[in-house]
Amino acid sequence: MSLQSYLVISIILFSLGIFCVLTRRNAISILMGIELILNSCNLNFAAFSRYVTPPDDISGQIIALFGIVLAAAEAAVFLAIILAIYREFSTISPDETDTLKG
Amino acid sequence: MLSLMIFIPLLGMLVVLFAIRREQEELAKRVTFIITLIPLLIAVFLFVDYDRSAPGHQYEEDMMWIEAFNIRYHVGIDGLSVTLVLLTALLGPICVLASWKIDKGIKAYLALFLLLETGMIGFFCALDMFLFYVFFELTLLPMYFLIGIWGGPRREYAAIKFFLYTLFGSVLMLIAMIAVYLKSGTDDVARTFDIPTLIELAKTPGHALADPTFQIWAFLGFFIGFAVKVPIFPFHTWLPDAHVEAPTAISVILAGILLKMGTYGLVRVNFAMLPEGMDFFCNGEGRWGNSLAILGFINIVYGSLCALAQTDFKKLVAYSSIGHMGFVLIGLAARNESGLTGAILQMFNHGVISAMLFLLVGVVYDRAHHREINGFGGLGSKMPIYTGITTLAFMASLGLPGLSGFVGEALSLLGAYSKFKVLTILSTAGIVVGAAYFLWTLQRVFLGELNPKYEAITEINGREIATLVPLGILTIVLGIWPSIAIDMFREAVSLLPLVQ
Amino acid sequence: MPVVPLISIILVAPLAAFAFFGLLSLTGRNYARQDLVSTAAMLVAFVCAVLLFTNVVADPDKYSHDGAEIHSLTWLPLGSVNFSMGFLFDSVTSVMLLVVTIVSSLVHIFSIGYMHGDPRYPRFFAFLSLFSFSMLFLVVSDNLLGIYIGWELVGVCSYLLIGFWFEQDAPANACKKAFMTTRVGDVGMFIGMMMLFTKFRTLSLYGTDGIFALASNLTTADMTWLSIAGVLIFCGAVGKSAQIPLHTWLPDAMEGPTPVSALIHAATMVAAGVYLTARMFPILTADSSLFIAYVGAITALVAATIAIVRFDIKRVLAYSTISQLGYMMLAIGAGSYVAGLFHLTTHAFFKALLFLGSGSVIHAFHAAHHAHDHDHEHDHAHGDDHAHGDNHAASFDSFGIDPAQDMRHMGGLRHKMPITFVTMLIATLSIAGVPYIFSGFWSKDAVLVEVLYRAISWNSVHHYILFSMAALAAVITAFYMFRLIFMTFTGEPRNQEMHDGAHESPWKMAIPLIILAVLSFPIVNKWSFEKYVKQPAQPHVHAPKHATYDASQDVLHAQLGLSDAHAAEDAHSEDAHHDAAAGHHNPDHDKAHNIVVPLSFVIVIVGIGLSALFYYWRKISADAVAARLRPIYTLLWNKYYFDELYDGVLVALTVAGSKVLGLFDLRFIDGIVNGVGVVVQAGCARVSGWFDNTFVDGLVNLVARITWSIGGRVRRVQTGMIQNYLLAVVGGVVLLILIFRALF
Repeated sequence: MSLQSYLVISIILFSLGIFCVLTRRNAISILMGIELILNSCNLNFAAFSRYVTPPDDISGQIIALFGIVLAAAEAAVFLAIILAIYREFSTISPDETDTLKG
Repeated sequence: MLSLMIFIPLLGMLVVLFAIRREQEELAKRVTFIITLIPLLIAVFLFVDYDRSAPGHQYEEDMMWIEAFNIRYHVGIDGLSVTLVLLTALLGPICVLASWKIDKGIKAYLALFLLLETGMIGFFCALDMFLFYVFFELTLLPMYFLIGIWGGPRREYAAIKFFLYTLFGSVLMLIAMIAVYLKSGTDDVARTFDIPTLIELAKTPGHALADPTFQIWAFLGFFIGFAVKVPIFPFHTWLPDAHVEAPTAISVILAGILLKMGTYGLVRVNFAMLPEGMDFFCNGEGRWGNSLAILGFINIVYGSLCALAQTDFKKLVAYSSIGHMGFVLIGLAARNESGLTGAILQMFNHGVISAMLFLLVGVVYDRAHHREINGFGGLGSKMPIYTGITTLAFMASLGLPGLSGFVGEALSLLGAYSKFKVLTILSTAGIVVGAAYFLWTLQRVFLGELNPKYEAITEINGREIATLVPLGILTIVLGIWPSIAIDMFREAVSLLPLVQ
Repeated sequence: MPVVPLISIILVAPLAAFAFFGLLSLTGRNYARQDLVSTAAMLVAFVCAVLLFTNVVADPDKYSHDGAEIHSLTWLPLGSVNFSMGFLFDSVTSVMLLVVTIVSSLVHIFSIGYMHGDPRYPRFFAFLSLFSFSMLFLVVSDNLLGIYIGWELVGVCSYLLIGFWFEQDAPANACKKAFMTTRVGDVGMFIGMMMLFTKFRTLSLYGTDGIFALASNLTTADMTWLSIAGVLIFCGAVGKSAQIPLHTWLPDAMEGPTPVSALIHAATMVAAGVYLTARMFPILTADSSLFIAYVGAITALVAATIAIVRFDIKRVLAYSTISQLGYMMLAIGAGSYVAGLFHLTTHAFFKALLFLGSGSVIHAFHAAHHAHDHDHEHDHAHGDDHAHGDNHAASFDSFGIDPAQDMRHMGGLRHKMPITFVTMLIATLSIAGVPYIFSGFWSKDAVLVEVLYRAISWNSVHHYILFSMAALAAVITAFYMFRLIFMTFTGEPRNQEMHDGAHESPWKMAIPLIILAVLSFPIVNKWSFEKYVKQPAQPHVHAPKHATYDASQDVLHAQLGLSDAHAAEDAHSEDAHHDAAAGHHNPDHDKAHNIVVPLSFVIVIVGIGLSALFYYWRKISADAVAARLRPIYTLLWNKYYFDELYDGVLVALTVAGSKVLGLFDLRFIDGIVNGVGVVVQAGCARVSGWFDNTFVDGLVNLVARITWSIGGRVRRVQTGMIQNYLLAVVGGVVLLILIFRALF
């Protein structure tokens, strides 16, 4: 295994995430896309930390851990917002919740 | 030397503005006073050092300023200007002393005053037409603010009126100036703003500048510009308003110097540079041949009669100025030695005397807070020194022989009589009316029973006496021995295009 | 004796006394003994004048010609024209210097007593000094400009001194009136000077290029011009010497302190007009001479008639002065310079004496009045009331007359004030022309003789008329002067309280009276005067055209007219006294003399006799006569309505005219200016408003509109859909990557 293979996986994950965020009409799906993007990033951090920085420097892995925690927190907040939106608009499609539009 | 004199007040303005804190009022006044003493010292030096026997300009400085239009920084003085420069420099410190009581924004006031002094001295020294114009306009701005901010209740009206009036005149002057510039050369021959050169060109037969028709029109342009400043009837109505509203020191400058700028311009430009135009209006022939003398006559008689009608002390003095400027005008119109000498002398003397008069009005105004002549009475018993000095100034102003006012008036009239007999005889009515309004004022203010309101009025103080004494001495000395002044400009007069 | 230093001292001494006062008062102080400073200065000047007079005595041939010695220097060099200033010394100057310094010194001494206790005592003496300087300057000036300068300066001093008690309205008005009235005359004089200057290019009188030398070459074509110039110069004298029609200021000038009246308004300044006319003698023509003579004669007569009805003792003397000045003018106009100046000299002394005497009386009464006020404060009105015992006509009230000067309050003072009475009586006898004993007779006689001589020799109707006016005026003079004496000093006291308080004046005041009384005797006599003063030639005076004379006589008279001048020219060989006598030994002159001397007796007897009938013996009631001649009396009482004419018409018109002009200036000229301002402002506002709306505002609006429309379009980009934005972001990143790839 080399760094390159990690990066390839990461890019695939990232692209899938972007695609998901751009195409889905459901807020939950978009959240899932974002999670994909975040995880691709975490993967990158861990990979660079393993291959590029000196062996005793594990800050990349630690950031990845932080990223996972962050993603969990984000998901919690996001879902709470989605619930609130659903109660207000009876839908969770971002296209229809457009009352802030200029 | 001259540049130093011109720009020291400007430098002083910067010092006052930036080196002195707002609350150091006393210091600001002292510094300004000392700054104004420097031009006075230089002027006294010039007066002593000036070569009285040499015609033409002395202490000349000449360098290129704006090359594209051949505008030069050319300054120099001849006998005509040296007296007026001396007068300006003398009134500078006197006016600062007279402004001692001003309590509103004294720093700005003093700064503007110094700027004004630069403009005035520069104007009298300038020998380049453009420079001349720049300094002419430079006096306008500080004057506007000095009247408009530190003036009386109707100050804004008066300031605007003064500003617009003068601007109106100077626009015409600008047009005439540009016309003269354009005519002074062609695309091949360099055009010039240089006054001595222009004077020579205007005398050269066949030169475009010497063309009588052109000169008549140029004369009119300049004349109106200066007439507003003199002021000549009917352009005079800004004067009473400006004087009444202006603070004392500014009235002094206005009457003492600014009016002289008009008459100085008439001599320097209209008379010296446009002899053909002058001839058209003063030769005593044809429809227009008496016009300048008629204007002089109107100024004398009309100004004096209007003065007789006034009940405001300051307005009365203002109208008397109009009357006295008439003598300058009629002497000028005569275009002979005695007329011109009289006119120039009258310019200087009126500067001194009217300065005294306005200072004196200021003295009583500071105490009584009004200027209504009929509201006084009997002050003679309470303020004997003040009464004495006022009597001296009044007597000088009404042309008492032995005091300076007489010599200028008498020479002007003597000169004018040989050209304009009837007009001169009619003008002498001004002498009688002049005596009438001054004596009447003297009676209403100082004689009679003391008005009980002024039981506690205080005598003139030392500072005020100090402002008046130098002027009083000049009045007496020049009355007894006017040659002191005449020696200065005899040669300059002989260079002018006189007509015997 | 050197002339220039002495004259300089004469001028500098009083000027220094004044300067001392002036400089000191700038510091707010006065030197209490200014009186001594001024008096000392005047005495120094007097001594110098005496020393100068010794020159004349030593060399009468030289100094008896006018313009004998001149020291001048250029004052105003203008290039081609020069004005010079200088000293002139001849016998006339010398006599004038003596007269001025004597009278001035005596008045100074008198004033020490008279003005004692005045709050402005030092100032009074300073002004007297300034006046003396000005008057002396006038007298020694050798050119018209210098004379004019002195002329105006004495006018100002007169102004200051008349208005000395300026707290009261009457002096304040009087001083203004005096200055203004004389100024009117001065303007005439100035115009005359302008005429002469334009013609001759100089204002110097003597010397080869002086006015007199140049004027003597004028031909008959210039006579009208020269006559006008002469009359105009004479206008100055009319004002200063209070001749009709500019006489009205002099009676009012009596509001000044009495010593001032004596010095300025009797002896010296008012005589300056006569002096000037005399100096101008050589350029007078036949016409201007006649004009001067008529003005003089009319003045002499009219002023004398007004004097008859005055009650204010000083006013009587004022009109008397005017009348006597008229005599002097008449003499000069009739061609006798010597008689005019002679009368000037004698008159200066006896009139100064009369004024000082009246001052003595007033002083006594004032003292009495004050004492009376202190004692009986309640009694004031009463004291004024009961004094009308001699009131000619009750309707002519005494309003405006100071009780201390009102002759109706006086009477019987001769016992109280013997010195004053005797000296004043001497002066009165002198002015009335009592033959032989008094100087006034000699000078008045000389005037009458000269006028009659011209009348006879030219057979001129004008001069006969002039002579009869002068003779009539002489009768009236004797009448009113004795009226004054009788009312003041004889009879019963009319105001007992004031009378009781009166007392003889202190010696400081009495001594000047005595000295002047001595001078009223012919110490200055006709012969010595004629010895020292020679008449200059009058090249342009000839017998008037209308006079009925034949040609042979004309030659004779032409010679006679110039006889004095010829005599002067021959003076090297002959004694001057003989020349004067020779001039008088022609038959017409003798004839005139033989008529005038007996006539003088008649004049004096008639005048004094009538006066005594009215006021001494009281055989005729003045009231009854006044009532009988009521219209005339009213006319005289109102002084021929000159004041009303001037105040009511001329002054009122001028002031009203000036008010109208002032309003015209304020409303019309300034109105136009403000109107233009308003119009321009309004017009500009409209134009600039349109410009502003169309262009400036349009531009702003245009910018706004463009922004608006762009914004309107661009807004659509802002979909609010995150995915769109994100797409844009991704697109952007891809684009950037592509660009970077392409570039690097």
